[in-house]
Amino acid sequence: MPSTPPSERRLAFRAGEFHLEAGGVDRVHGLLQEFWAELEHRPAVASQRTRFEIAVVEIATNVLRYACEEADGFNSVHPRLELERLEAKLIARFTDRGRMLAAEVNLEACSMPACEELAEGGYGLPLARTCVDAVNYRRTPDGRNIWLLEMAIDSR
Amino acid sequence: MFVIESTMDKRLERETAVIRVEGRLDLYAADTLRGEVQQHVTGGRANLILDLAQVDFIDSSGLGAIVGALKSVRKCGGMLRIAALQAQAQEVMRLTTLDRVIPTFGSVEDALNTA
Repeated sequence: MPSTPPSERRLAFRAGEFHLEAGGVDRVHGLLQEFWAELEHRPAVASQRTRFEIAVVEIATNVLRYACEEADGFNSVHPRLELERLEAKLIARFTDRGRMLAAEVNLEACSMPACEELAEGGYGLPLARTCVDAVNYRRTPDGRNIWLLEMAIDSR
Repeated sequence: MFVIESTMDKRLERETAVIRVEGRLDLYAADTLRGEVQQHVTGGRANLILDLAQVDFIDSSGLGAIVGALKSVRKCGGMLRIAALQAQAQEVMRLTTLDRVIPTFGSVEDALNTA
């Protein structure tokens, strides 16, 4: 059986569901704290950690705001977050059974509003994309939304 | 936890208010901040300083509320200043380039001294 390449070796993993009623974003912050605590012996660089957190919280907020909108109660949506640290990569995987991402949202094309516009919204997805190396979304045939965030990190 | 505490600075023109925010400025807190700012502006205090020394996280909802505050005070001829941004907040302001349109200061004192 082939062994796992060192770069793919898992150093930490944390997962849990989060719900708007129970302070879903707070739960996401809690999961992140638990995740970093697991990595106490192999901490990520502070600036990378900050950017990863920004991206994770933005996608979590997006899930709570849009995927859960018009859903038949949060119990049917089951928003879930998995956080994983490989040797040289941070990964966040969101899954939920809520509404699919609106067709007009083009992840590749979404850009940061120009500051002069003084936009009061529209920063979330561009911010997430700016902070990590990849933000991908897909809808599975069985009706699940999956968001995958990846960020290469300095190995310590 | 999120707390907004408003204090008037006696040394300055009376319409300047310092709003101290604590905790996370996010999805849950953004509306509270919007309401607080509106209350000040409606009350004739269009010069605001947001003291963010105790804010350890700002997300896009919080940014939206800050931009909303900027627009509200400008509409009334006032100014918005941000004081004591912590590392994460500084990063978010920089990434969105909002630090180019909203004056930021190292402390409330600094913001007050340039009022």
